[in-house]
Amino acid sequence: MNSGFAITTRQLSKQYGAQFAVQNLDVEIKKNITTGLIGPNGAGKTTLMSLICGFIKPSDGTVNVLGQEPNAVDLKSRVSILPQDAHFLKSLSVKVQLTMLAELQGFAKQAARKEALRVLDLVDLIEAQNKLPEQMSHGMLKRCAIAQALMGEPELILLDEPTAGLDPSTTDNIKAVIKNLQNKATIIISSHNLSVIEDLCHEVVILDKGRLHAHREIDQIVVKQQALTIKLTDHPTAEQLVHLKAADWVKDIKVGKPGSCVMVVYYDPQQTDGIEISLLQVLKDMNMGYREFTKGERLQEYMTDNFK
Amino acid sequence: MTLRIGTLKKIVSHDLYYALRSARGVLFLVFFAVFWLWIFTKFGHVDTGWLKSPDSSFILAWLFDAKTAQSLFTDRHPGFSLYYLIAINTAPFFVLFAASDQTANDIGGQYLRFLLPRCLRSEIYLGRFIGAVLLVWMAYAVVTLLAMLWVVALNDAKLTEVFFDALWMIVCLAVYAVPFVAMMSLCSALVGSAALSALLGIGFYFIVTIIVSVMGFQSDLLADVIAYILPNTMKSELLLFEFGALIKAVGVNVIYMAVYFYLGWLIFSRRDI
Repeated sequence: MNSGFAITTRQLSKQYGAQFAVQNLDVEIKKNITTGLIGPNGAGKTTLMSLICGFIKPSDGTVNVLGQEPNAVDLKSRVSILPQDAHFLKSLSVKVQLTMLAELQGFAKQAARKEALRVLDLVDLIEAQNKLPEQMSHGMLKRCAIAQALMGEPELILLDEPTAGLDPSTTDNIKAVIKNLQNKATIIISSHNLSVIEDLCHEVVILDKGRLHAHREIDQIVVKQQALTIKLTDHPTAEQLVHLKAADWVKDIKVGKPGSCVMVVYYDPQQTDGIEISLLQVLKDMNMGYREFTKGERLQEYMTDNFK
Repeated sequence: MTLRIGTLKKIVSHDLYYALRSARGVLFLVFFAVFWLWIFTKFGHVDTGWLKSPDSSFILAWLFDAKTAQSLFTDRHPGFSLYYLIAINTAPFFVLFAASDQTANDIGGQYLRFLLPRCLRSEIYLGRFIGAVLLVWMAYAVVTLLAMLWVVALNDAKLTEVFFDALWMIVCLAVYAVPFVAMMSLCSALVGSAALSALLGIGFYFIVTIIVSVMGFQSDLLADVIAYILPNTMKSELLLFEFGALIKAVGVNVIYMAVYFYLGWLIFSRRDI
């Protein structure tokens, strides 16, 4: 087994009745990088994570996690996961529950209590340590679930929708926590929030209807250097596009779905100096207002184009 | 079945800790305590000495065979034996209830997804089983000791007379309860809620009991065979207070426990979570 890969799947399939949640999947996820797992609803992201963790058994094919079968005893406490729909026990405070989980992870009683407090602090829940799960909001429970995934020193961390249901400030906080872990563990993030994937991941695995659509570095999927993505206040007209294309530095223009108001302008790599200023000038000349101005393409547009 | 003893111990201790704080555990303890308090209040009004008299032999001979009746009401304090009879006959309901949530809520609430990256399925399954067994054993040990003190205080029993019987009863009730806990391991591996698991276990117990009773009118042999599905066939042996009968009951109940436990394990180890 190649030690450069944290996860290897071979012809992996999971079938529910006649329906394939994952079908003939061959994926190799590199160690010590952060990989995004994306795809439209029903693509098989959560199923793949569940197969990796041994929550469900494959109908066919194999999964290899850190050189082991998913349920191998040697993997215990080396892999952690933020599961999507798991609930904490009722009637016990989150501190007690995290302490119990830390004990099961191999911490001694006192050290487990300290570890529980450490991870609660990481997710800004130290003041809620004595609260029962039934007294906490959805966002707080999500943060508790993230906290349990950060306990100890897992070599592989799987995060299923880590920012779903979190407010923007908490999302930034969680992103910072994940960034801190990036050189210490292999991280796999499944999310519909593609800006989180873009900000945190080096590679993406794109699934569609249970099959592998693409597995590449993010830079190979979305152009980072020779494009500018603009979110306009109004969708561009054909006349405006003709005018824009007339600029000598413009190589191509891609427009999003009608109403999306998104436009990607590809430019000549030889003429990069002041290109943003030039584009802003053209926009101003044509009376086109904008809301966002981003260098490079966005994953969001790639996904929208490919999974309409 | 791979097991790490340290992890198993932690799961068992967490299970017991949670049992004493969860709605399910507290509900069991409240029902159990209220039931026995009610029974104990009746002890003061019952002339248990009558059970030892020749007048009662007619009724007792109808309920038990002569050997069991003598063992229960002549050879030992009848009041304490009365407690034992009530305890062993009500044990299935309390045990099925107390042991209903072993892995059921773990499955339903997907709490197993927090446990599985840290523990093996075998450790979780066995840990929950041992936790339920210990909870039931503790409950019956405490109530038996209370019953002993009660008959000493209210029914003129001597402590020396009932002490060893109390220990014997604790052992017998422990032996009797374990296969029922294993039966609930199977039920809770099948469903995703403790309430549903309790309903399944108690419903199964009732249905088989009714079938056995009805079949008894048609064919004793068939009724006896069907009765072996439930793990209470050794009750009569456990009422004899004989070492040989106890050993036989232990042997048979170990088989019951192994069968139910293994069937539950087959489901739990293969099921998607």
